Amino acid sequence: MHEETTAGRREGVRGESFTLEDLPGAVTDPEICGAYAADASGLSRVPDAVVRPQSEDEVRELLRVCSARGIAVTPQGLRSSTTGASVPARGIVVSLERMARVLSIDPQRRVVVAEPGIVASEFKARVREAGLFYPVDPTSEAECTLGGTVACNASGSRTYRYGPTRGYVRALRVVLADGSVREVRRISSDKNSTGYAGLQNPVDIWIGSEGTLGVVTQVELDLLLLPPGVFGALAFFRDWRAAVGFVQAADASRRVSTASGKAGLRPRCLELFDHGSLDLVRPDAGGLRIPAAAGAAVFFEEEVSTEESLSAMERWYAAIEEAEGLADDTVVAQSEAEQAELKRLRHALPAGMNERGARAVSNGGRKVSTDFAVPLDKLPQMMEEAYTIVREIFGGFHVAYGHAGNGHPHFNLLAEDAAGLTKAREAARRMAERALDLGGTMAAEHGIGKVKSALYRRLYPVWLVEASLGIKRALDPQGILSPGNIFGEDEI
Amino acid sequence: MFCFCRRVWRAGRAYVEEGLLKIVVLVKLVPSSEARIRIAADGRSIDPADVELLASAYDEYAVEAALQLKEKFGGEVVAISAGPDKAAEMLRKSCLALGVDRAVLVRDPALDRTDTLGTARALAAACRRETPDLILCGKLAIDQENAAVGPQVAALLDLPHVSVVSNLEPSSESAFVVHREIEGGMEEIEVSLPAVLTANKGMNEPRYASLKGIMTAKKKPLDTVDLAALGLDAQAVAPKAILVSLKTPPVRADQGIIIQGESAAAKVAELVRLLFEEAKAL
Ligand SMILES: Cc1cc2nc3c(=O)[nH]c(=O)nc-3n(C[C@H](O)[C@H](O)[C@H](O)COP(=O)(O)OP(=O)(O)OC[C@H]3O[C@@H](n4cnc5c(N)ncnc54)[C@H](O)[C@@H]3O)c2cc1C
Repeated sequence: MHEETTAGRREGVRGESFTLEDLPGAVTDPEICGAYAADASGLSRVPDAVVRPQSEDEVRELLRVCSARGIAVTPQGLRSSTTGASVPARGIVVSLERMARVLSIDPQRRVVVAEPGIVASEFKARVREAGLFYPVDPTSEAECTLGGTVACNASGSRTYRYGPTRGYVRALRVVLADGSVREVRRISSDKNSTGYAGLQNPVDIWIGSEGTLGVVTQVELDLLLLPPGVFGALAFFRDWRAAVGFVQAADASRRVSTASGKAGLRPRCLELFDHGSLDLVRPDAGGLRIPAAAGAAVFFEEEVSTEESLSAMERWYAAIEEAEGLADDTVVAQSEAEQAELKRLRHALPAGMNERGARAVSNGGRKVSTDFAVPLDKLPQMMEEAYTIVREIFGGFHVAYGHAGNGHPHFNLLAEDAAGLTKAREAARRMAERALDLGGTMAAEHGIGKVKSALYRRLYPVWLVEASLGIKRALDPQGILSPGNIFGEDEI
Repeated sequence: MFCFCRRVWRAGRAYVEEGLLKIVVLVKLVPSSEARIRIAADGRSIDPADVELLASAYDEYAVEAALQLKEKFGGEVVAISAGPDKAAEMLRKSCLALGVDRAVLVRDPALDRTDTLGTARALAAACRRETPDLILCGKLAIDQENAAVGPQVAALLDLPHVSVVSNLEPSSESAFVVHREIEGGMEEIEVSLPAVLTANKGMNEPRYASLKGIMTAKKKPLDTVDLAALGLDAQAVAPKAILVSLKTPPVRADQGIIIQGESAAAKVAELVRLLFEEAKAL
């Protein structure tokens, strides 16, 4: 949209001329800008400039100038998005990395107020130091920001028990496209029948809006009490079918025991590793022995005090045996270091696949990952069909792992070149369609970003896309915020 | 396969029996290396609040080595710790649950303020009761890093000793060949049994406990003994080296420099200048 005219001078939407250096705080050094070009999707475009504000006032000033000149602005946390959401389709990037303070923690009300740029794991550590617990745990928590998790409504393994980010957001401060600021507070009455259900609580519109409706400058969240203790374990199975059967049984046991108050399995997460995933982590597993007979594994955690952990473990052992797992090989993470190590292995899966995908980019390939989720009772059918689709349409290297307890496995397809990419996308589209048919969703936690916008437009009813665009236009009439995200107006 | 038969190489010892390799592992309870250490009000101990206590990392290599030897040759592994009541939990979680057969906790108020020699006396007395073929422990405990107890136990029992061992392999029915990494090289040492070896990092990859292991650990014997039971008294472990005070290191100020410059080339030139002139690194 901006045409470069004379050296460094650009033309804004209304034809006026400006230089990016006029923008408050803009850095245009190409090397620095280059560091803000790519996210974990494999897409990249070097922004025209980067601004790294240190206060909400600086964000407001920036957006006032940008909206006056029609300059597109893409907010960024730490660019761990897997969908291209943080890659600027055009214009500049505003990075929130320098707004990274915890502003207050109220231990009585269990409420925290923080700036968006703090790294999620660091934020959680601060909360923990205050004796409290923030349960949202995206696998990427050490490489993403709190603001990014709000902008994507991130979830994690513990979402199985605790839900995604949304449930903890009490209020947000957001700078809108025109530079005005709005504090949006959750309406927290028990009942609400004001208008359409999806739009009854304005704060929900911003959570998961992927930078398209404003720049989040402050986050207020509910916190929980620390659990009395926790143990994690990795149980092995001969194949994914047995593993998924175990996940369903554990989920059923949790439902019965929570409803009846009787003893039962009380997992807080149920994460699947399929055959390929185990092969991928095996060389890196160290003292964690993955049996040769294992064709799948389930990682689970239960919050339980030390005194009660033994009886909980006995229940799990029986359940693994019942599901015909390799019960004797089940390994337990007893210390925090061992728990962190299991987490590291789990993280190595997406990180490793992203790296391989990035290496294929020069050949026109990349990693294509699914983010569909289905109701848990449909998971065996969905996975059966998904493996068939991947084999028949794609045929290349693939693994599946992830949040099985939520019916949410990530299939990762490694497209080595452009031809592979076309096939991988086609396979991903088919899987998404099947997930919708089975009563699920095509994007459970990574959002739409740029890589899934075509799919979104294809699979979602036109009137719903239009309604969403209506909200977008009402808040950002010029379309300067994160162009290309969700609706896919710009091709990179 | 190579097999240890006590009858052959232990002839002449009083307890000769048809048996297999018997290994004692010495294990110390220490704060986790991740723990945030605060000094307690007495100014010479660590405030135990919110500190996760674990087996010292090098002792874990020793436990793993013992278990691997047992898996290969059969035999018995006994873990011994001198420490507070909480060490019992550690012995269950980090030893018995992994496959150690039995554990002994030497617990005595006189040990709370002892020095390395006092600890070694208590442990040596506990080892003597077991008459092991091999005693393994970490090269040092990660909390105090004295690297003293292993060699002291060896001296008290009049046994040969090799420290900082990175690899061990039986070489005959009564000897081990061990490797030690030294500055710029590797020593290979043959040591006759019984012996004391202290383990270095890289010796193996310590295993995780299995669910089954944790469940069976609760039924395994864990004896608590005091000094009297070992034929010692408080006098025997009275410290001759006394910890006077404990301090955390001073916090260093952030000394980073952000290099300013017109272009990347100018910044690199400035960086090179600083490396030469300020840091004297080049
Ligand atoms: C290895 C790996 C594992 C992952 N695992 C998970 C997982 O388990 N669960 C999960 O949910 N996600 C996961 N993700 C995806 C990603 O980490 C999350 O979506 C995360 O929330 C993004 O945070 P970020 O700070 O990196 O945001 P970025 O990638 O920088 O931005 C993501 C989107 O948020 C917008 N945004 C960022 N900050 C703001 C702000 N302050 N105001 C307005 N908009 C903003 C951006 O414009 C963009 O649209 C994973 C990614 C990787 C690479």
